[in-house]
Amino acid sequence: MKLKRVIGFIILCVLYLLLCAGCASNGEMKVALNYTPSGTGLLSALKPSVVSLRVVDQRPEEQRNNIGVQRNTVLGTENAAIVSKTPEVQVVHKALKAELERSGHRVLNPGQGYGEITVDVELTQFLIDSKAMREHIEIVGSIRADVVAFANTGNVPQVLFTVEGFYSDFVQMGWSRPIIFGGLWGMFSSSTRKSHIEKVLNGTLAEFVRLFCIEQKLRKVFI
Amino acid sequence: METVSTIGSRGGGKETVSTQPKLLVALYCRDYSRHTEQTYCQWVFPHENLCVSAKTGEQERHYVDDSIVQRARIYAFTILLVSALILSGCAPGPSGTIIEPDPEDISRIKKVGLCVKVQKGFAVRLGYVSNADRHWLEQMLVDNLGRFLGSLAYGGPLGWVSEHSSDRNAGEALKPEAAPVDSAEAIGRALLRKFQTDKIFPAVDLVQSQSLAAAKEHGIDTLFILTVRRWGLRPPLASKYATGDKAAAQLELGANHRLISSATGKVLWERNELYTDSECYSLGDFKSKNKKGLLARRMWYVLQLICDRTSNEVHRTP
Repeated sequence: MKLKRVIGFIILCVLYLLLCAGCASNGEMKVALNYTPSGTGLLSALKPSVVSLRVVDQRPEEQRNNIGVQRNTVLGTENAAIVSKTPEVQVVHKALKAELERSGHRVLNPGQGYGEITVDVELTQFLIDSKAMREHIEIVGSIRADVVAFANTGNVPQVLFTVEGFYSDFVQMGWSRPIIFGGLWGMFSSSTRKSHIEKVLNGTLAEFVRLFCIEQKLRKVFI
Repeated sequence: METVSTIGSRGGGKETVSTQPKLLVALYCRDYSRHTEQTYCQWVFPHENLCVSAKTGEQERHYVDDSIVQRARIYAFTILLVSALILSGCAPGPSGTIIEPDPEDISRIKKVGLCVKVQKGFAVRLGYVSNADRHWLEQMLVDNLGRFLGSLAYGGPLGWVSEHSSDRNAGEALKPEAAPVDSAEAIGRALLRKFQTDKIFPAVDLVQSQSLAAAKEHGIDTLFILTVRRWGLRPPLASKYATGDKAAAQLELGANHRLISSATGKVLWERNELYTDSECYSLGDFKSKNKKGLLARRMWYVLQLICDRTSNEVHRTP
C-alpha cells in the first residue's frame, strides 16, 4: 500500500512539472512584428507622390542583438532575451511603406531610383521592457528614429525631425500563469507572456508610424 | 451523517433535504468504478471512511472526509476574496489616441482654457517594485505601522524598510530640484508659454477649474485638460535595475490629454501618452551641484514634446 502511494506521489509530481514546464526560460524569445493599419490612410489627404524610402540601422551595438528582456513579473529578474523574427530595420521599412502605399503614394525601395520625395529614416532605438507598477506590470515599447526628408523638385527645404513612438500596456502581476497549476512557485516564476510583448511591440510600431505621418514638417514636404 | 433534516414543503407534504455537509457528501460519494485499479485515484481520494449516499441511501465508500471538503471550500473562497481585493485596482488602459480629432471641430476653436492636474507628484521609480507605486493602504502600513514597530523594536524590519527605501530617499533628495516644475501651476504656466509661442491655438488662457460652465462664462469655448498621472525618474528601457547614485535614470511623464468643447461637453480629442526623455543620465547627475537645474531642464524638454505633439495631432495640414 505504501509503495502504491509513493508511486502515486511521483506521478503527481511529474504531472505538476509537466504543467509548469513552460516556466523554464530558453534564453531567447522570438516575436513576430506586424504593422496593422486602421482607419483611413494618415497621409491620404496629401498630394499622391513617388517616395524613395530608406531605413538605416543607427542603434548602438548592444541594442542590435536583442530588443529587450522578458522579465519575471513579480521579481523582475531577466528571463529571456527578446528577439524579432524579422530584422527591425525591415519591420520599420515595411510598416512605413504599407502606410504610404495605403495613403495613395508610390514607394521606391533603395536602388530603384529617386522619386519626387526622399525620406531617410535612421533607426536609433527599438526597445521593450517591463516594470512593476503597483499590482500591475507595465510593458513599455519604444521606437525612435531621426528622419531627413526633402523634395527632389521645387524649393521646399530639407526637413529634419525625430520621431519617438512609445506604447505602454498593463498586465496583472503574477497572474500570467495560473496559480492553481503552479502554486506560489508558479506565481513567482511567471513572466510576461509572448502575446503581451508582441501586442506592445506592434502597438509601438503603429504609434511610431502614426507620429511619423502626422509630423507637420514631413507633411510640408509633400505639398 | 446526522445532518439530514426534514422540512415542510409547499404542498403540505414532507421532503428530505440535505444541509451543506450532506450535499458535499452527495457530491463526493460518487462511485469511481476503476478506483481499485488506479492507484492515483485512491491517493487523491482516500476511501477509508464510509458514508450514506444521498441518492440511494446505501452505505458507500467516502473518498474525502466532508470536513476536508468544507475546509477546502472556505480556503478557496478566502483565497479568491483576498486575491480579488489585492487585484481589484483597475489597470490603466494602454497608451495612444482614444478619440481622434475632427478637423472641422478643431477649426472652430477660438479660445482654449488650459487646465493642468497633477495626480502624483515627482517620484523616483528606479527599483523594479518602487516605493512610489504603493497603494495608500500599503503606504500607510509601511510608513506608520512600520515606524511604530520599528521604534518599538529599535529598527524592526518594517521600520527599516520604510526608512531605507532607496527610491524614497532619492525622491526626497531630489524634491528641491523638482520643485520648479512639481506643481500643476508650474507645469500649466510652462505649457501656456509654449502654447502661446508656438501658436497652437488662436488664444490660450490658464484656468484652475475643469468646469465647463465656468469656462463658458469666461469666453472659453474649449478646455484642454492635461492630467499628469505620474512623472519622475525611471530606469532606461532594457537596462539592469540598479541602486545608488550610479544607477541610470531617465525622466518620464505619463499623462492624459483631453480637448473638450465647453458648449456641448463633447470630447474633441483624447490621448494617453507616455513620454520618456531621449537623454539618459545617472541618478548622481540629477543630484549633482555641478549640474544644477538638470531635472527642470529635462522637464521643460518633455513639456516642449507635449506641445509639439499636440500641435501635430490637432493641426494636420492637408
